[in-house]
Amino acid sequence: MEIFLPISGVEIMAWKLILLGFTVGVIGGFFGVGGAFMVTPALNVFGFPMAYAIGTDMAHIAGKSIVATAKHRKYGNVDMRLGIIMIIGTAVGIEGGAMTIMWLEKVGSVDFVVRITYMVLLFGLSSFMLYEYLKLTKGTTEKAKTVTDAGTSALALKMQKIKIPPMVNLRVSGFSISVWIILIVSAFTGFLAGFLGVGGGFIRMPSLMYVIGCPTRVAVGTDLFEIVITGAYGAFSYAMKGRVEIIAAAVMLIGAAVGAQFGTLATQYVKGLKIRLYFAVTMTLAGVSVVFKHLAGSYKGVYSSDLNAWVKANPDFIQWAKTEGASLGSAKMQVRDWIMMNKDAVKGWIAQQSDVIQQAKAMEKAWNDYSGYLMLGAAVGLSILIISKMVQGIRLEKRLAVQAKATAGE
Amino acid sequence: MAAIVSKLIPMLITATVLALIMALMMGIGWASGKLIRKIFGIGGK
Repeated sequence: MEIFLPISGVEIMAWKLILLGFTVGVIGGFFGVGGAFMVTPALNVFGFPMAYAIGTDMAHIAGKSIVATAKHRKYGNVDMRLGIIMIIGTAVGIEGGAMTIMWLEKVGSVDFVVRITYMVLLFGLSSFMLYEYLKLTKGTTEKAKTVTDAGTSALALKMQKIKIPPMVNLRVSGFSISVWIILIVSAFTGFLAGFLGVGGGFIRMPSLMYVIGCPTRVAVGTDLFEIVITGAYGAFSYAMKGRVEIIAAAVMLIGAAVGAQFGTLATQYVKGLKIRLYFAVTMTLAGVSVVFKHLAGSYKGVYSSDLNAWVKANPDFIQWAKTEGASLGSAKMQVRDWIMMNKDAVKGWIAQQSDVIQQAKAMEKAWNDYSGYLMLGAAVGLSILIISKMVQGIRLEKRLAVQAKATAGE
Repeated sequence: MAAIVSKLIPMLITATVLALIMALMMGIGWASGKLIRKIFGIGGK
């Protein structure tokens, strides 16, 4: 069934949106991330205009996180105190990150710096988590695994020893820590999120585990709680700008609401250490996707200055910039926004250009598509893996319960 | 006054529509959670 999206004016198959919502719902509920790094490129592959993909994704993330957080809270995985303090630090950090971006835009090297930082962060985090997993599981056999979750990291232990008042007792996490440590860590992760223009769940979740010292499941639940707040604010903000395809967001949410149930339930049956391993693999794939995006960006560099000059001289753009574009601020943002909203006009301009530019545009699209297909494949593959592990865990639990009953009967 | 109201109304409508969708999804999530637990034969936690 095809559904018409009235704001962006495109038609899209409903099952694709439901499937994408479902898979990212499973992953979000399991890892405690919003999953924008998967949804946005995948939506783009489905022919969803980029200008609406981010806002629609934000609305879907907010809704999905509410469902997943409610479930995690039931399981005792949400440290509300920690989450509320972190929101304050995150808000300050995001503002700092956004201001740094604006400064870099003036210098002129923003895209390159952001993409490199993103890649270093994704590959760095995933490498560290893979290393930690291998170190902890070394020497254990499949049948006699005693390691279920990593203990508190050396860095987190040091952080917990710093006794600068006021101290806060985190009952759910099981330790006391200085409020200042939480504020500094959350401000730093918020800064990175604001700087990269992402929700930041994939940075916060490892920070909660390795720097603050939360058990894996509490890190997942608490991070989701924070995503509810940031996602709701983001969805509202984008909706006010007319960038949320509410029908698409609602259709995706139907899948995500069900998927989040599977993802959350799976955290009860998959060992904390395994959650860290799968998370590391996801980060590696996301890193490869950013490399593809970087390659697409390098092809865009061939024609972007010519295109920008054409846009700035276009009467339609000048008229639009005076009215609707005025709220966006910088001229660069206005040009970027207009290009995203006027794909047909841009296509017409490309068609009139030299072969070099046309080829560069084709290559840019190809690499963007590869990035989208990679994330789509990763989302489907990971959710199948997570659900199958959950089913295995449930079966094992039932078998053990039957055995225990039989032993008690004897 | 009219200027404030004209700005407030779209904000209220947006917030209400988003809240309604989120509430609906909470309902779907709750119902699907129940169904999943029933299918797999697991109760409570």
